[in-house]
Amino acid sequence: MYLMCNSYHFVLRSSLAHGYPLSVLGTSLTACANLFFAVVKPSQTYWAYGLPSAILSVFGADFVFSAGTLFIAKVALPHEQSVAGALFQTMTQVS
Amino acid sequence: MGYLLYIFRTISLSWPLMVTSDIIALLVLGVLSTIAFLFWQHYLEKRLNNEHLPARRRFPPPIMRLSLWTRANGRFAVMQIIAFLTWCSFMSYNFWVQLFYQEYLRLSPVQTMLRLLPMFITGVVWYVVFFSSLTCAHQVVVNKQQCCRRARGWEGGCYVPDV
Repeated sequence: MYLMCNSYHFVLRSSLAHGYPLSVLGTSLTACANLFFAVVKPSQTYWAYGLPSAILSVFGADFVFSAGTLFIAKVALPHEQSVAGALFQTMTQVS
Repeated sequence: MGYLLYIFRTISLSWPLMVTSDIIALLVLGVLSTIAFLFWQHYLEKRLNNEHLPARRRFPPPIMRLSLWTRANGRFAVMQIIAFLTWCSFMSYNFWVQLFYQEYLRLSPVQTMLRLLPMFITGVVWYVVFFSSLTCAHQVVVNKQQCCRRARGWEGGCYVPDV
């Protein structure tokens, strides 16, 4: 699954402009998921707040991770790509 | 960094008892070692870039060049921060949603799992959709490139034989 998503972003990024739209889309959708739960009313049904936020929350993780990994691997010099990728993983794990 | 992470974990585990001597000592030590590490890497990078200084065993090439963060006009650092913040929100979302369902609404773990199942399904669906469009897009791109290369041929100066 991870490989599929990454490959898709590679192709998409080579045709679109560097995957910035994907990052923006992913981060804003995850933010929407958090907003849904920030204004949640416990008396309301699950379908009003829980379902949309559960669906939206995964977008950011998927999009940002694959687009970001490819972006920093492309930006870094060839002999620094391993360090750059390790830093990226560390940043996501530390958070 | 390891010291700092250990401290954060310890503090979050034992919040009322956090002010003990070893915690404070490790906190100071962690901050100081992180700063020292950054300065050390900066010095090693400067030394590596300076051709007049001889290479010594005591001064190996830096593990993480600080100039790495300024690649592509600082977009590298921005991408790292974006990933960091995205994971902050995603992880805290997961944490609080589980608390909300299990502690506030008093649902069982199975019921909570059912309510979080759309995350899993959405991920799988997106991957499948992406993969099918990926194969189409990839074929289009590759075919176009190969056609262009064939059309240019040897005269184009970049002839690529068929694989």
